Amino acid sequence: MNKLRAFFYILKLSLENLVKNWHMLLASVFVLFTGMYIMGSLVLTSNSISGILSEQAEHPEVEIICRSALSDDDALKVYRAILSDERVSRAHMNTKADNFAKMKETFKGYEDIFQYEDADSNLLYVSFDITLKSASALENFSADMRKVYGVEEVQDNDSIYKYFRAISNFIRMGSIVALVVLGFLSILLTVNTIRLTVVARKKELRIMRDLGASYAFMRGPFIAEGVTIGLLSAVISFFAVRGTYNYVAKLMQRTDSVLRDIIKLKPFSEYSHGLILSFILAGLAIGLIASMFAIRKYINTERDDDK
Amino acid sequence: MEQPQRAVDRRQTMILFKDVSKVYGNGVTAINNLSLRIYKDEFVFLMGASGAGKSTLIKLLMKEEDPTSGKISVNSRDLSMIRRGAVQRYRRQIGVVFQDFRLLEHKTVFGNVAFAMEIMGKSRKDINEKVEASLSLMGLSKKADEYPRNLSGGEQQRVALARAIVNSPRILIADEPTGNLDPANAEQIMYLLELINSQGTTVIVATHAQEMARKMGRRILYLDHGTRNDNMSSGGGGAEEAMAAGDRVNISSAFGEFAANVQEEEYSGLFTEDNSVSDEGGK
Repeated sequence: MNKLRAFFYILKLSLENLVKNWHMLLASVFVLFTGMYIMGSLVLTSNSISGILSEQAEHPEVEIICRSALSDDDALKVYRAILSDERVSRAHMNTKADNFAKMKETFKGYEDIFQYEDADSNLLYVSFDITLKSASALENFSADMRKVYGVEEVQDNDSIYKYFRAISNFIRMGSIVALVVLGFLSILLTVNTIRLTVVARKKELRIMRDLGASYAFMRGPFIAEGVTIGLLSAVISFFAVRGTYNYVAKLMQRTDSVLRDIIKLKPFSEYSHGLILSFILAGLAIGLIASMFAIRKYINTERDDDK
Repeated sequence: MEQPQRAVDRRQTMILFKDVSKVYGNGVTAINNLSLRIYKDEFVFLMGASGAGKSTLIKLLMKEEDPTSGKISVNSRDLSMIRRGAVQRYRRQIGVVFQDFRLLEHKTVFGNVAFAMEIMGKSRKDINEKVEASLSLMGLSKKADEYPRNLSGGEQQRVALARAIVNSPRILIADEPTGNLDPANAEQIMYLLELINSQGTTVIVATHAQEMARKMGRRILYLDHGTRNDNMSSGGGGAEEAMAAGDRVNISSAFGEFAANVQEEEYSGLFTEDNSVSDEGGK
């Protein structure tokens, strides 16, 4: 019962301290929030890119476009050549009519451009949508296909994925650096916030020590303070990252860019559990470490024998 | 041949210093081979010039410092054997008041006294009862809701005393308790210390107020450069012998009106419930 009473008393003291030093609380939460927000955003960005890359690794796709003047027989020869290639998993032929229909669909609302007399499927080309068995074969397959008679263009998006891979690696490295720098900064600022409270309550601590308050009781309010700062920052960061992610996802949906087809963001709910758990653990760890550092000098100075 | 009869002192020892020395890191010897014994229920004055070692002796008693050599025992417990985690529990046996009162400005008189019990996780009912009794004893019942800044020096020291005794300590240490007070207030404090002692608490008062100490007729231990000066210490044959009660000045009559207003029965009530703080600190 004594312990329970002491627990609530400690909680009360820590809340009083936080309210009393609200400006420092805000500063600490802001810094910690900034750190978590940046980290969270980097991790989600990196994860999304990794998702795209893994999708590409699992299902490497190539689009082969034939010359528009190519006869149907020659187009069939190209198709057979594709199907006979061992590196190919699946292949689908799009006839000129298919591509014309697709084009019409793309330009829905602008049908005027198809009103010209000679605007028919003959203007277009035969194309092939190909899925390869392995991403490692992508480069060679594309090169081989470019040599085939009648092939105008091979789109394998490899350069785009290389670009994504570079970004992903950069973000991964950046995340590690950010983790170290922001973690250090967050701890430093939280230490200072709590240290201010400790200094303000130095006299009270001295009195507590003289009266025989346990070390746990003396440390308790400051640890609770650190943990509260950590948890508060974790919750705010989570909602901020969620808001930003959903906003970006909506933007991506609206854009007409080719990126829309390549970057398919997963719903936030797939990340939410892991993210909130990580934030809470990080907040708790930073709060605990910071408070322990802040009070070490003031509460742990006695040279009592530990026999 | 007849052997000289030696008086056997059967009183229980509360504090024992045996060949204690304390040398600080900077090489200053604060206590030098000091031996002394203070009995249970005794009231002792600790006197000496600045730097004589009074504060260090108090720090050693509070286990804020460890002796460089020698042994200290309190209530038959060797302080060197107290583990780090048990130091705070040990301190609960000791009430302490200082010259600068050390009150919390943001708490009321009641809050300041209650604080000593709150940090031990005592129940609200227990806190209310004991704090009221303690304040009543110190003549501060009507000031319970005041803040320290609205009190005189004497009143603030009485609050500090109320806080020091509210957990019924075995020992009360007062470090220059009257240093910031006028003579009238100083006498009140001394009277209250006497009252606390009369209920079985060992009281140690470090002071420069030589005249007042002599007036009270209690044992005086003089410290000089960290060692005991037996030539100046009072108490008959030496420091280990307390003055007989009959030799003392009648302190109650000496302190007149204030003493008459203090309700001794309330003070007794404060101690009847639990006069011994256990090592578990009230658990």
